[in-house]
Amino acid sequence: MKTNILLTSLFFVLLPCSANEALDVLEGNKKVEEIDLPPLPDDPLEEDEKPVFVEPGWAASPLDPIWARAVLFEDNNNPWIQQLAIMGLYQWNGSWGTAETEGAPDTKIDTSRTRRARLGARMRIFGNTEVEAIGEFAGDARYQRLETLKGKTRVLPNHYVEYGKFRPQFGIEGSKDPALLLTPETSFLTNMLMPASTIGFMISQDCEPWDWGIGWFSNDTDRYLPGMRGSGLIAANLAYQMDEKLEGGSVVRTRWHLDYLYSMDGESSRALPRYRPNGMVASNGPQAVPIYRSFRHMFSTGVTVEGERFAFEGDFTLANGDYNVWGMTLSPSYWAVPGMLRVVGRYHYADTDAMGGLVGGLGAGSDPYFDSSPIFVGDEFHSFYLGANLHLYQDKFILMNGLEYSILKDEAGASFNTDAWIWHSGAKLSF
Amino acid sequence: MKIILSLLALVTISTEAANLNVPGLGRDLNGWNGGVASYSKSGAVFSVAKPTQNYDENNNLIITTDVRELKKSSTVFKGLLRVLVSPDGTIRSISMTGEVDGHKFETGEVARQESIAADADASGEIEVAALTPADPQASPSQIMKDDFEARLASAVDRAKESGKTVKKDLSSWLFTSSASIGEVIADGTRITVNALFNNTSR
Repeated sequence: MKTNILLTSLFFVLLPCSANEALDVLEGNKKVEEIDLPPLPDDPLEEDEKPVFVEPGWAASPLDPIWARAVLFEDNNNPWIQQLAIMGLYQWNGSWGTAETEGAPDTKIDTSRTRRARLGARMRIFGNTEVEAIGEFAGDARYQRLETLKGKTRVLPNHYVEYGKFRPQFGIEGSKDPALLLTPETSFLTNMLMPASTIGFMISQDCEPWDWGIGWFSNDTDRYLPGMRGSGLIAANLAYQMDEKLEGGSVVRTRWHLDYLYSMDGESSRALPRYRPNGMVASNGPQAVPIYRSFRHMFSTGVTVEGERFAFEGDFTLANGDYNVWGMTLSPSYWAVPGMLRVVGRYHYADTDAMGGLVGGLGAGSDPYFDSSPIFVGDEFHSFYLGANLHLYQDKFILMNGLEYSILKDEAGASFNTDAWIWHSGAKLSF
Repeated sequence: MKIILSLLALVTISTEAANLNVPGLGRDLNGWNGGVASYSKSGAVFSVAKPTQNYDENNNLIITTDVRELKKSSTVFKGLLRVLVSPDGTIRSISMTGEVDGHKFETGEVARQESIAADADASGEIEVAALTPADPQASPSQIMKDDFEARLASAVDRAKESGKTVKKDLSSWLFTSSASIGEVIADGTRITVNALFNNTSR
């Protein structure tokens, strides 16, 4: 009996061993302790569990009922209208600094303005369609416009058609809702290359982890409803998203994107670029802005990494036409106090192969399309921004402050190199 | 005659059972509105469904009800509260299972202390209530409610926390308490538990 028990025990101990080793133990030639057993396999359940990044939620706030009033109606069981909500964004920006130009007078860029004043509404209807209308009331007369009037319909599971007046998706900053931008102003190259909001359509599919879209847009632009002009723009987007678990157990989400715009109308396009500063006088010089030609091909590729406290956006952009411009934006951010204080950095680089090929503004007037703020020309641009955003209420009420150092070189031109230390302050309220 | 009276007594005893005063429960929870009562506590809004009542083979009343807290901006909590009432109307045990932000939790069964000796023979699986109550003057019901509240707070916090950071903006930091989500949920659920205690009788 005891022998049987011993043999059975030996059997189970020696089971993972090779047959020869097992025989050696049974014949007494080796001891059990001398055999190296293979490692246990990893828990198959643990291996199969796919990590999922869940964005941290917001803690309850006494301001929740106030912001909840933006949703005027919500009933998911209603067959016609499931939701009706108003949307708005008010942004005030101020900048203080001096652009110092070699061999030319300095330019004061102390200014404050209502940078964005948007009001609109969105509806979810028929169980598969979202309609959005937004008007922009800030800026010069040409900037005030119907920003968006579009519908998006789910035609098949994960298949969508978007139609109406909206901006083609291009780049991380250019595609982001202005309410969610981490810096007071978008970067130099983003302002320069951003296409206009115009009529068109996009067909897209979200087939995790990939999503893609392709569409056509008119090359016309208008404050209200553009017409069909020229052959138009072709827009294509591709993105890949994955969640992975780090050693510490936290999960990060990584999203890579590739955006492409092709203008079939070249110089006659009014949507790409949005504005033409031909003949205007730049503030660094003074010097006339070179004849501004259009771009035909535009590429943007980059990656977004998002963790619980740390986030990073990296974008590389190239525009090709009668001349070339290219650049990159690197933007890390970190929640020093999760939900309340976010430290934001940004390095932006822009370059061109044409004299005076870079045209843009500095400070609160960074977007020359916005109003008649001073514009600067050059052929190489660097900008370093470091700031902090104080979140009074979620992502919807934010105070932004930061310091920027910009360098605009004009080596290929008359060497009116410019650099500026600029303090930015801003406040953003959205619903 | 004696036989008839004995039979009557037997029937009375065998049909003796506790019951829940549902209208009274609704009044304690701000009134029923389409089968649901809502109330707020500590900045959270709770909704309680009209309970269902069933009897087991020992004529114990089992009350179950859905309790939810749906704050669009943060936690999504839903739980099933289960209360066991003996035929004499005494609440014998409370337990809750559910989900918070998609993570499951359960409190285990919190039993009334004086019922442990009687029930241990039957199942041997009843969770022991706190053996050392904070207040020696506290009644068994109070002890049971306090223990349930503590277990619920702990279970919810454990389920919610899986390394996840909660973002707290300035308004939330200034004007809301530093209580954990579990404490807020348990504090709010306590109102439902108290209302059940008040409206359960023989």
